[in-house]
Amino acid sequence: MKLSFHLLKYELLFALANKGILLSTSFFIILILIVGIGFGQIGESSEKTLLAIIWIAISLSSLLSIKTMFQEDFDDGTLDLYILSNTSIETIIFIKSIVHWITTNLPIITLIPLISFPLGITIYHSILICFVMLLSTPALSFISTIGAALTLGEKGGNLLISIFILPTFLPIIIFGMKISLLITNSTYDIMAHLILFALSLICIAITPFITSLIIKIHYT
Amino acid sequence: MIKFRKNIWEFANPNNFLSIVNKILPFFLILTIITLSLGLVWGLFFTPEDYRQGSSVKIIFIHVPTAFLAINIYFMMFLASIIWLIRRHHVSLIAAKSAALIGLIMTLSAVLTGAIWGKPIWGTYWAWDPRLTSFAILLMFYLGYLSIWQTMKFSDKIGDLSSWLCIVGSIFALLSRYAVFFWDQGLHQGPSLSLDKEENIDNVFYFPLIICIIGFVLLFLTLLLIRIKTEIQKRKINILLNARDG
Repeated sequence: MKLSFHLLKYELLFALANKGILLSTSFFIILILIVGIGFGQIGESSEKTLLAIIWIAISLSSLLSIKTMFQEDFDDGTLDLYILSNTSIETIIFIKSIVHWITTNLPIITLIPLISFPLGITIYHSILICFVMLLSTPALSFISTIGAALTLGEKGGNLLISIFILPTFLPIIIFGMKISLLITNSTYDIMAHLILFALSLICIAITPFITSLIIKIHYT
Repeated sequence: MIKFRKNIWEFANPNNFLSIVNKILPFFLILTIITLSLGLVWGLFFTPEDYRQGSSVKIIFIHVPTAFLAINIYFMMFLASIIWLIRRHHVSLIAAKSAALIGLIMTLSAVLTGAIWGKPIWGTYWAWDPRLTSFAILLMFYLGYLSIWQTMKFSDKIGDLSSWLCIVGSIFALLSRYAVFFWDQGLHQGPSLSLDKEENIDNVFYFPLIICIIGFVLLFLTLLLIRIKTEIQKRKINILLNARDG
């Protein structure tokens, strides 16, 4: 338990020192502006397209720094020591996923009201969408650890991670998009919210175990 | 000489498997040709036109079997991956690997024939109807599974990784399917081949359709056996080459 907290602190400090937050938020803003400008040229800049852009941008930017999550530890042998240590590898994966969420998705979510207000979503709706994202994007970070584990030790695995992992984001994206649409239409569907959060919780609960099984393949 | 076998797992020995395959492959080939030609000729030329859809209804004899296979091949890959992970039989892994490309082609042909059928009936080649969307999802998972084999060299480690990818993929494909179907049922009609329903499609279409489905399943099995055979022989050649060089 003590080791877990140490690891959390160390990983957070490491991520902050690496300026990963700046990179992911810049990527998010650039993606939104580029796609927004692209849609602006064909005169399709409605609230709905903006919602789609936000969801796609957040799922793409959560894959940005995923490759380095285990790769550095795998290369310098830290991962071997983690596997040998008392703390279970699942706990370590859990902590790493949480840190990944805090450093890539959380800053983006706090940016969303700022960026969506000038682009045409009302501030009240964007705060509600932020709330939905706050509860559902942890699943994205957790799922993408599977991709990081699958391409461990593989050169140029970033593209492979996108190919493997982006389709698995679909349930979250479909429900998230539908709920965001319902929010902007000022209707409310409690079932959809509950299923989205249940999906998110299931992903958080299961993926550390799957990821640990996949990581152990590399050590047999 | 094939000895009497006590349990099914003895087929997992690649040599036993190859000897069996060499014996049954010609029969499968002939059976496939007979069934497919019977079903397709009956379906395409000797069935009446639908009173609403005209002759475009006849594409059902290719569309439904390929769609049926596209889903079930992924399920078969899922089972084969689990068998590989639990019992470590190489034939099972090779079967999963070989089935993936056939499954991709079946998915593509189901989508294409659906598009050709959709234009005169719905007025559009493609719509984000739940079933079309779930086929798009299936296509993505097939591509993901194939890309792991395309980029990495054959080894047991990659077999494990691809099997886990297949299992994770099938879980998420199923979840996505239910997510897509959550709000509406879309343009497609309900299932018309279930056993316990009153409103199956008319017998005129039903019998040739069943024959077509059997024919396509046989086609899949034949192609799969040929591909597995090729893959096993390829691996044998590789081992021999490695032994000669190293």
